[in-house]
Amino acid sequence: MNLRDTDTADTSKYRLIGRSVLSYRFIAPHDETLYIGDIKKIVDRTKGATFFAKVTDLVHDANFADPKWDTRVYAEQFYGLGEDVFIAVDAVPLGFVDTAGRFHKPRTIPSKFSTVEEPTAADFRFLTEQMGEIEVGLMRSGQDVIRDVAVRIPAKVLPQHMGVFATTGMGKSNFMKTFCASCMKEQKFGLLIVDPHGEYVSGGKSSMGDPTKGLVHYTNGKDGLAIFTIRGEADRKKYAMNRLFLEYDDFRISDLSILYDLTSAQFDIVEAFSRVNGSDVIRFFTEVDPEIFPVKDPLAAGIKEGSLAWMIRNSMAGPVRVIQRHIENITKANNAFFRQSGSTVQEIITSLHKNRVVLIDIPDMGERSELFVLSIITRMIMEKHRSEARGFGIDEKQEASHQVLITIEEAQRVLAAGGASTQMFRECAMEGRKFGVGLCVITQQPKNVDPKVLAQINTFVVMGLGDRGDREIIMGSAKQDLSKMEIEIQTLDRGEAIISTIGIPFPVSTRIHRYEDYIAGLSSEKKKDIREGLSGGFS
Amino acid sequence: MKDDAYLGAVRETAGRIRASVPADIAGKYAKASGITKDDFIPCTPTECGEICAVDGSNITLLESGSMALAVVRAAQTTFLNMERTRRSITPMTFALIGPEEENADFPVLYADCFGCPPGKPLKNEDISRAAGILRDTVEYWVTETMARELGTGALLLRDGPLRVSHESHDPVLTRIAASCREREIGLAGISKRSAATWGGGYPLLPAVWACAKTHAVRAPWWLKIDSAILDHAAFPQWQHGAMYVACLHPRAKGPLKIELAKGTGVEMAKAVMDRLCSCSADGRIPGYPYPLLDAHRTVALTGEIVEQVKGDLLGRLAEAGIDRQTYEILFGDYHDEFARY
Repeated sequence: MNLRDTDTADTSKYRLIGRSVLSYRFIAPHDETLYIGDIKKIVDRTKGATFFAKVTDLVHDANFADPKWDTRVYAEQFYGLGEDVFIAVDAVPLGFVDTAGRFHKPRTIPSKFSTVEEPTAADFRFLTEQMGEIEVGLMRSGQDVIRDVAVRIPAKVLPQHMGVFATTGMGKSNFMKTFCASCMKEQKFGLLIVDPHGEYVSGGKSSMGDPTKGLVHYTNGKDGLAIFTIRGEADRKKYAMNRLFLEYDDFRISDLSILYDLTSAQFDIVEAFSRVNGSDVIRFFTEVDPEIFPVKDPLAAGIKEGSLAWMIRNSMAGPVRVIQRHIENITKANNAFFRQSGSTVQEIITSLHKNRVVLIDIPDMGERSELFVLSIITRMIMEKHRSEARGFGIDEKQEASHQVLITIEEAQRVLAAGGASTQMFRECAMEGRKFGVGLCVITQQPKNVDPKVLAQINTFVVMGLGDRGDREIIMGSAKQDLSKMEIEIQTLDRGEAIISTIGIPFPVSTRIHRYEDYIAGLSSEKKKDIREGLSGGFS
Repeated sequence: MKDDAYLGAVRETAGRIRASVPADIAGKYAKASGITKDDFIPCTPTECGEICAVDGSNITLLESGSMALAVVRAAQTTFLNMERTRRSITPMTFALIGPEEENADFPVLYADCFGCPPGKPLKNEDISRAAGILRDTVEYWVTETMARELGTGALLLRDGPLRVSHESHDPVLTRIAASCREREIGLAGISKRSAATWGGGYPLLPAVWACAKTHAVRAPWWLKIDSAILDHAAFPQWQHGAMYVACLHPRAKGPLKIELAKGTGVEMAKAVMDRLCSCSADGRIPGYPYPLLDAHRTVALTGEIVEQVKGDLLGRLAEAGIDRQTYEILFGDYHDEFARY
């Protein structure tokens, strides 16, 4: 007879036990520190493949048949607790790398009991190769970042619209400035930002009260930045900023519908003047007496056929008076940059076409002024790109188009469901990408954005959404499956994001660079010497 | 429709059981034994130290009219305070019970374990008892092995009494007790149930439990039983332990019968009880020494294991030329068929 010692090594932990192609499970020691969002490597030595999975849920579990073993009053002391009590870990597969180092979608399942291990930066080489150009942060695994895996959004997908979804204080402004700095560095497309608060230019204070820097502080990237401002000459000279001007002819009366809620009678007037130059419209409303409307006998009233008054002769005095007041308001409220003649819009568009970040800096001008500028420039960019597209041949169209991304903060204001008045932004969302115009939709309330618009967005930057309705609309709209990541989205911390884009094979948890640290790093990089570019040409 | 005869039978049975555990059983027992509140000695939790538990397991794998196939094994598990330091198990041993009158595998197994033939053969007439004796053989072997290997001052627990059920095991248990005494190892046999009665059929454990409740004695406690008040003991010469009753945790389901080696003094008994109390606070089964539960879980021949062994055996039987039909004729159980309907 012999007495064999049983193996005391615990092989039940960290091996794959479940369950399907789209849902993995393994168990870990009951006192292990694991986090939602941790990325694990599942090594299938039988198939020679390495699978990657992200932890989506953690639950306490036990082998005991008695489900109430842990709730009884005397359940305080336990022998060998770790043998039968454990953390059951649910994970969602991200994909797998085959023996040749190629990444594939998770269309197969790892062998039973494949080992679950911690990945290293080297394991993500495949991902680094697939990342794009616009760096925004480092890949995150649970609470930690994987130092050598930078998250870079592919520039080519950005004009296919980007959404940035975050509640206040989650680091949205920091993300946008980091994104801008990366765009300034890479100069792959033009990026338009209208800033009514003056925070992008020189910084200010974060929502946590900390001092922040602005885009002008990224001096190495200044070639990629064009600022159009209403600030005084001293500031403009100091930071090499341009004066912002819009002229009356940049304006179309249809821009009113974005700024004001118009009645159908007022909208009839807007429609009647839709093809009339802005300066003519403004002059007309400056001079006209609304009380002459409706005009029963135009000839007797001295109104010529074809004149602007003749075009709205049947309107009542009230709607004309309201439109007149609106036009008077926008000309007066925006007189810091809105004038009879002399516009910088063409310079703005040219800068965008030179793939610069164009910052429209209108501090203290308020929300209506921001929308006024944004709607005019967006319309003019769309018109320009449309006309360019009409001019190109079938084969050269794609290559020839300029790529521009237009940022809309608090996008639910102009992209809510059913808003015919904001047709221009809607058109931009629906068909802008055909002409190389994309929207960067920033909102705290994605559920208030038209789902049809969300469906057009190919790049999602999700930065913590407390509202369940907001999370559900995002998970339903993203091109990659975010449904298993709801707990992670719910528990995202300030400065963390999940980035889902068609250029990167799976949604990537990201720790966004702190802007100040990021530009410090960029500024310490050696700036490319202009002679490097010339040396080849003259040899 | 009510079946009066059936209801009458249920009532009568309940009445008979009630008669053996009367309402005033505590008073009756106190009167018969003379115990008072002071006889209940409180346990003082202390460091468990090294505790080893031994348990065995047996199942009847196959059974025909003329023979049965038993599988037995035993295991030990050793803890130092709350950490398991070693766990070991014997291989599964197969033994045919029948068709001969005397068990042919018993002397082989016994000699394998103890290096000598058993003092008395094992009869096959009672399959269940024979399987139990075979299991005891390996279980005593493990106990003896551990009595040699444990450190001085350890505590060696056996699941069951310190009383053999077969004459051939008596010298083995004698050796175990001697070895423990020599090496200052505490030896305890722990039984969840007891056949012990007093006063002409009153069960011991409910009586002691009722006494403790009557005197409002708060667990954990222990009590030595005067064997003179017990009704009878079969084969008293095979009895190697002195009887105690203990309740080892305030939340225990009930008391345990504990046997300590004969000649254990009061101080040693208290030290053993204190250590038993200390290892009986596990939240899963408060009041039962956890090492014994661990030994039970280690050794248990679960349904899964039985199915595996049956499958292996079927394969070998087929190789040996016994076809499925012959197997069914030999070991088939119509109850398996009945269970399908």
